[in-house]
Amino acid sequence: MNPEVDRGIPIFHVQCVTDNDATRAIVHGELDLDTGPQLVSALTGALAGQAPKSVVIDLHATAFVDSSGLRALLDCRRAADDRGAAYQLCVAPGQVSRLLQVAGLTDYFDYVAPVP
Amino acid sequence: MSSPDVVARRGRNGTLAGAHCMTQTRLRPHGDQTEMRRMATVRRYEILDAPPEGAFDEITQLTAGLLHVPIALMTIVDSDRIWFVSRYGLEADQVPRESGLCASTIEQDRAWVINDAAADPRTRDNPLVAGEPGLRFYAGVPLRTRDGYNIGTLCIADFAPRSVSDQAIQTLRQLAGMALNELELRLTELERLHLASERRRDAERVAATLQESLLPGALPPTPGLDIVARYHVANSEQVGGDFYDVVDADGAVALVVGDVCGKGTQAAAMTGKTRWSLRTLLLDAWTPSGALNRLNQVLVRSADAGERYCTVALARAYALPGTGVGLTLSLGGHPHPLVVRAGGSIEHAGRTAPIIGYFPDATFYDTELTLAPGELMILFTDGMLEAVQGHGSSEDSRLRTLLAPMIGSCARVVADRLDDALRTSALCDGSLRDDAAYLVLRASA
Repeated sequence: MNPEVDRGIPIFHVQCVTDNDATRAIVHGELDLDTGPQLVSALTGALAGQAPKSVVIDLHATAFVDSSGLRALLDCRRAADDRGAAYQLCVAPGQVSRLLQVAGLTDYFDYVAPVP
Repeated sequence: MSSPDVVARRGRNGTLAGAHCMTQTRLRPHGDQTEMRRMATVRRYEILDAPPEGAFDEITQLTAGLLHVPIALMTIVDSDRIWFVSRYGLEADQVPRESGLCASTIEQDRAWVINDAAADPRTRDNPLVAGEPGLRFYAGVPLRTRDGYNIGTLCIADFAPRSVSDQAIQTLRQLAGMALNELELRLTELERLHLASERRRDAERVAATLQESLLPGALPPTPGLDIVARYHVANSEQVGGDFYDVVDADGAVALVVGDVCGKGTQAAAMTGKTRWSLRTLLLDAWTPSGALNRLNQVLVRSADAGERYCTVALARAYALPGTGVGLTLSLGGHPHPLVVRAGGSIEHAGRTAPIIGYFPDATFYDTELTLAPGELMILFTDGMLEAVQGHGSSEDSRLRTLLAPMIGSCARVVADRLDDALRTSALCDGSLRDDAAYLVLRASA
């Protein structure tokens, strides 16, 4: 049994979609010390051979991000910068936006609304 | 006698009496090199005197059932006794190592078959034959390890004389193979457990040593300021990323609580770098924002910049005789400390600023505040907040509820109360999810 499933937390997974010059990585589950590197490798994998104008990390469905998860968001930002793509976060009010605020990072990211 | 093994052995040795003599001379070869190596192998399996195990009991039960005998034993031959790893149909844990039955079986590599033990000169004096339970039939095969030592037997016995077919001996051999496989599996598992616990002990020792070097010893005396710091590691095998410090610095007291992103030795290296950089920066005339700014510059220029960062709450505190404590506070990506006022109200302190060691252009701010005598300020890491609030919470309501009645308590009592809350939370989750550090400051009356 997966203990995270037992606690009712969705299993971590990343869904990457590229269309219309935008790569969107939708993050499910918890972004932390263990899963952060998985997001980074999922995104860099999705960006391989692509030249999107923007990269969006969609944290709308993310249950929880900790300080190590922030590191992954910063690493993804660097991956986008390296390719000359704009980097945007999609964040719902709650733990994730609060964490960004406490970490003093609110002004260091651009934001987009969730895809309806 | 139908066993070809026994017939062949007879053919080689000529007579039964001859076989007996040979067995006698080799039976108790104490000091014999081969026997010493055999005993070393026996001990390696850690099976002597072990409690009964289901896997072995199944094998003896299966053996008795398949071969239609009342007794089946899996034995290990120790230096002076025969230990029954599993016994079916016999009430004993061990018997003395007397010649004739199992002790003789391991002296050779074939099946050892005694059709009528009471009549056979090799066995008639054996206590199991001459006395209780009066065995008359015995057939055993050695348990031969991969490195070639006969450590014990799988054997069958009966209270009446009988013969045994080649096919039955073949079955007994196969079952002995099964028994040995189980022993090997069990040994592998034991070795894995030993290795894991040894590794864990090593890791814990390294983590504890490293952790000690990252935390201050006794806090310096701070007249007018009542200060207690606590630190809890989530995982004793890993060095935590949280740290705190209390430093007597330039006529004031510096209070530091921080959290380095990540865990383990690399995070510990960053923790050390951060803590000692701050200590050095605090030697000069300093403001908290100035110190965080310089720390940020130091860390963004370091070799692992971009790999790691930290969050810090830094306060400069000084006693205001008769009126409490004056404070200047600066934050870098760190949760706001909480201030408990005399009336029981609780305030967030400090102005939000970015994490430290990542953005070269980050700006940090100073906030001035005063604590009246008896008022409290609590600096803490996000691990502490999460432990008290519950996983995934973005609020600090529980922490506030906990702290509101603490006004008037000394710092140690407040810290004990917070430790209780952490312990309760750790009990719920099994352990802390993250390290937790905090520092309680109370303006002495």
